[in-house]
Amino acid sequence: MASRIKTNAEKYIVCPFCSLHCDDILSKSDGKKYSISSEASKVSEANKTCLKKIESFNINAKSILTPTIKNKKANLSSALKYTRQILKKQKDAIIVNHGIDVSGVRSMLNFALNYNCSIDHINSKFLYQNIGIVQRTGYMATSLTETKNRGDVIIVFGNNILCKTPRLIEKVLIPSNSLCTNAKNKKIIFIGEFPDKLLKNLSKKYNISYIKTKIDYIPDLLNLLSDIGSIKIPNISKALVTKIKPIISKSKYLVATWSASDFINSKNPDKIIQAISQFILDRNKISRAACMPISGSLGDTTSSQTLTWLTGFPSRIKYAHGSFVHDRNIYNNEIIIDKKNTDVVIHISSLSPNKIKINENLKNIFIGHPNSKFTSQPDVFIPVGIPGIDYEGIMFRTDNVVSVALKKIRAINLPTTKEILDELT
Amino acid sequence: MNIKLESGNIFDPQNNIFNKKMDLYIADGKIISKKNIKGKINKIINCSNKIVMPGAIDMHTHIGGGKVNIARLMLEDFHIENNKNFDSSSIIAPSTIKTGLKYIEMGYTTCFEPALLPVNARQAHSEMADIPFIDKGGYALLGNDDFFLDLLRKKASQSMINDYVAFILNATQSIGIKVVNPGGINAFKFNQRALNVDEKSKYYNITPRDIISKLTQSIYDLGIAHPLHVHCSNLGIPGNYLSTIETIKAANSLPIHLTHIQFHSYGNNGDKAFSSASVEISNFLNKIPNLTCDVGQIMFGQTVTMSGDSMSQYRNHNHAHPKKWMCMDIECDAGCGIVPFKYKDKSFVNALQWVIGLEIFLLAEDPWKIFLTTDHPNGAPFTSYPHLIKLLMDRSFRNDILKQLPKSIRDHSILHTLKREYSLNEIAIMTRAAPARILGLQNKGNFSEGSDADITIYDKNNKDIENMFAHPIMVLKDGKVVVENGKVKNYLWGKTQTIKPEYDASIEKVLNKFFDRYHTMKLDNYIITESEMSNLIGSEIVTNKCKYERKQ
Amino acid sequence: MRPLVLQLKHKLSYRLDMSFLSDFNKLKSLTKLKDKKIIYGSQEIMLKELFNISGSNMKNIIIKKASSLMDNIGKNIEDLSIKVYGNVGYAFGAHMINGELTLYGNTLDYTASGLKGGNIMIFGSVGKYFCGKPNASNEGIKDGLVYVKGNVGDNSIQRMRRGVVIIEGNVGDYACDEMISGTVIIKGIVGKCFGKNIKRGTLFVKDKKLTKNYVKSNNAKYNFIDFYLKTLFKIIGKKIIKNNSLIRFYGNKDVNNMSEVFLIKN
Repeated sequence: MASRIKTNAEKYIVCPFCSLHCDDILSKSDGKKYSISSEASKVSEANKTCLKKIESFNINAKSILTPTIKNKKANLSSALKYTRQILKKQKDAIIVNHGIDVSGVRSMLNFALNYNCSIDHINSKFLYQNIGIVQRTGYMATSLTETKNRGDVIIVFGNNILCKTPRLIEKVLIPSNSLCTNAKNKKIIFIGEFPDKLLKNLSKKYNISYIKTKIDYIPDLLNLLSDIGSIKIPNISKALVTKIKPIISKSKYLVATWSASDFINSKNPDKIIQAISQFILDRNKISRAACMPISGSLGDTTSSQTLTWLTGFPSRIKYAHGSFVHDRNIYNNEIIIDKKNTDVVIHISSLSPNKIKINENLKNIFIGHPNSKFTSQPDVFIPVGIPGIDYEGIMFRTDNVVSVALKKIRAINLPTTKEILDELT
Repeated sequence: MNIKLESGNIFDPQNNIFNKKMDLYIADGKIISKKNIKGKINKIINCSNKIVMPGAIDMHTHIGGGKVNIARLMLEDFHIENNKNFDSSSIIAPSTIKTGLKYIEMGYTTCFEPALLPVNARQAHSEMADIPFIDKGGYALLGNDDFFLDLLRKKASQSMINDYVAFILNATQSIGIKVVNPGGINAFKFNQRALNVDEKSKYYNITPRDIISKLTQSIYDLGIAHPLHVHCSNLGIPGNYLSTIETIKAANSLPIHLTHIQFHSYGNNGDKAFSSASVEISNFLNKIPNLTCDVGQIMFGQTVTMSGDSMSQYRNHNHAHPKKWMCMDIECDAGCGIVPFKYKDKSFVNALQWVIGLEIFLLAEDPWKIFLTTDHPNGAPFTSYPHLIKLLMDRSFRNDILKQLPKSIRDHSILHTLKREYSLNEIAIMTRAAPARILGLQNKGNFSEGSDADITIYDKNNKDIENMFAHPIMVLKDGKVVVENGKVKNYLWGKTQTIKPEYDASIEKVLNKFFDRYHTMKLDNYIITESEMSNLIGSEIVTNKCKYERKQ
Repeated sequence: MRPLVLQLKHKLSYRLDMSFLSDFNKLKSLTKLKDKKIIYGSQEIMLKELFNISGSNMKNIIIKKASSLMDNIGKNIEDLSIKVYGNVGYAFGAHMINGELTLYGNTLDYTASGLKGGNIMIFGSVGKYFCGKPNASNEGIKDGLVYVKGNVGDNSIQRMRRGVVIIEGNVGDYACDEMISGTVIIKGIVGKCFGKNIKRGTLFVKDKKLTKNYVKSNNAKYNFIDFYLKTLFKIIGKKIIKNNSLIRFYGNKDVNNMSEVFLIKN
């Protein structure tokens, strides 16, 4: 917390709140309150939602700036003392990560080593769908800048992907500049169930096509598009397929993108991702193509990357008396918490805007940012700073290869998650 | 604290000391001469009947970065088979903690990650910062990034290229420059599936030869100690020794280092159209003064190949074992490919690869020009180094294994005729003094006054050379005992070795424009500062000096 | 020697990883077994603290009053016979190499995934991903025999290579996906998307809709099948198909389907 904040100077921030981690947004801060200046960052509709989201983390009347024990204000040392007492008595504890930077994950593992507890990320079930494809068959992948500069045809699968990463289209899929393609000629094919209004707006500006289909039909549809099999898919006209086919076959660098959480209502999400990957592999026999899954809205990629290099496993691990054990079923936080198969839940949430579910029947320790929301009061709440707002940190972008250095724009004297965890370890 | 290592058999090739019984003194983590010691000796370590060498240096080992992490993730089933110990992960894709443990237990104290993608440097350094014990460093990958190729296409001046190279070394906190399949990774993104040394890439119209000659010139001009670290074109293709020779010529007699040369020394003679070209390659190595190479020996067994060379890895993906693999195009910077692989001693091709590596070792006349590597984990995990040393030092051991290989191997190789056995002196040179010299690490790999007290002590009475090298009885890092009686005593964290050549800041303006237009991050965010290294990434840096002032 | 009986002393509060059973052959004595350290919650405790242990035959184990919090029973075992009474948790018999597993109760997901050999008899129902691929690999079961009295969940029997799977109850969606070979007998009703991208294999089914994409074969006698089924019934101790009630169908070669289906007539 040593570095001083120059007040009211405009400064680029690196946004920690979505997996694109944009660093072209200007902020102005008086040291406490910050605003995102909209003139300087080229404003688009998508951009505005981002600005609102970032500003929503400003301190407001509801912000919790002092630790609480059973919803009563307390000072930090007594909150830490109370937490240590809970941890001393635990016979089973689980850390649920709702988003934190690299330093936080490192400390989290250290903490788990000390108390022999398990670690899971709140988004593990989506994370494992994308990891599943790496671990079972592997795939051809690409990253954001490659897509921006080389991708000429982009297929977007799913239904909700653009809400999670609002600037994906303007920054990556159809940017204003592209090194090796003509940005104006880029084509996007949407496959899935997207909001009609969104597509209507997009079609005014961009060259888009849309195949509306239930998520579960994606594998069959891809077979149709690559002339394998001839299964009939409800509500899909032959004419539409014949229109799309040449767009794909003429592509020089095809990019397929999806967000695993979009497939959550499918009975067999693995199959959809596998089908997309296979489609891309087949395409590579003639031309170039690659996948670019989007994930990591809550620091999922940061958590999985860091844990993987430290232990070999991406999530759901436990340090059990001398060794790391990993079991995707046993250490699933959702089941453990729902069925009360633990004593203590340690929630770590330094950047999540979501309302976090708390099981009142268990002891809950919550290390979170001041604007955290929860379904019921935890036993202890310790406010911590937000990486990228209150302190510097490192986080990973959705494509797993680029990590960004988050900056500090506010000084409200909150400890970092790392400091709290190290104190408790 | 002052330490005396008493009457050990010292090997210090840099100072021409071979197997000489003498004392060694350490003060504050550095080697010191007896006369300069202040105060009394706090600790005496008896080294009689012990071999004392500087800590070993691995100059080419994939220990950190995106591709290593993908391999760790992909090979989870191999970790689970091993998860009985603290170091649960599998040795073919070890966790950072296990990497450090296994290296220090073998007496290795400094290691270099050879494929540090500039855009991925923050991750690579973060991973390496979590490797305990050892000092580390990385070579930044250039030669396939669109910015550089664009400079070449626009016929930018050598001095501008030098600025860019120097900028990259500073911005990525690296100690050298590596080029992987020059231009090939980029060409693969435009659907070219092969690129010969004199073949023009379709989009940029540039040959690998252009790239090599510009980069070697640049490194020479800047005075960077480590020559251009080159992973040649056409990896693994029978007959590729010709492109290797052309690559050597492209350096125009300037210093060049060819890495994992074993994978680039294949002929296409014989009934199987696959043969050893070790003689041709060794002739060049022995003849050309500024050429060095590391071998990239293979060993039989399961491993995983990881490389920035997405073009070659895509070509080889059908050989994946188990059947999964991944290739990635990365950020207009480079690429990567991960293909798990099992080298089988029953396979003619794999057996010949094993033979070719050993032939190159044994035909190389000067141990200062050749380095002991397995290109971990591409040829084999680094834990097989002691076995490799025994293969080099013990002819009958080598021949016993050779006899178990397919009979047809004998007709295709000269290994059985090579009588050479490496001496302990030569091993000390190729694993300590030579890599330190080629990397410009003045304080490593020797016992000169002021050098880092990274010391490995072996048991002289151990008759089995493999066992001796695998289990040193004591290892000191920066003057602290970390391994005693073969067991790790305490944890400490090494530093990152870098080099910081000067550059004209105007290159940043050009880059800034390029980044704002074409990248998805800002230049500011791409650069890793020294304070970031220590505060966020978590590793102190050591800045090594350039050999001389910049020439152009 | 009496079989070794493990009975829980108290109701479990936390999930319990039972994969330590596979270490039993390596233990030299019964005392060592009783003192074996296991992980329960954040504690490391001795086996005898959690279980009442009686009997002495360490190769023949009975688990009484099992709990659905017990995961990985029979994981990686070799040459052990384990009988379990009560419901169990995830990954029952996963990665099993050889031996006998019998369960009088229900299981959760990932039962028998990555099976390499041995017999598993389940007199109850099982969850999703039954006889499937382990998490980090693309290989289905390689050998072994699995019998299920009850129903089976979705996404079961994926990429099966060898072995026999017998299901008396119903099967969920996406079963027998990418099957490479092996034998599957299903007496109940089958869900959606059965046998997608199937390559080879022998299926005995009662659900008529499965024969839709198959071609009916001529009416030859299937002497070998009779013999095969007889042997199979001997192993599972029960006759589940009448020998002379089968109609044979074969797959469509145009879509690379070389499997065969025997429709079981009522």
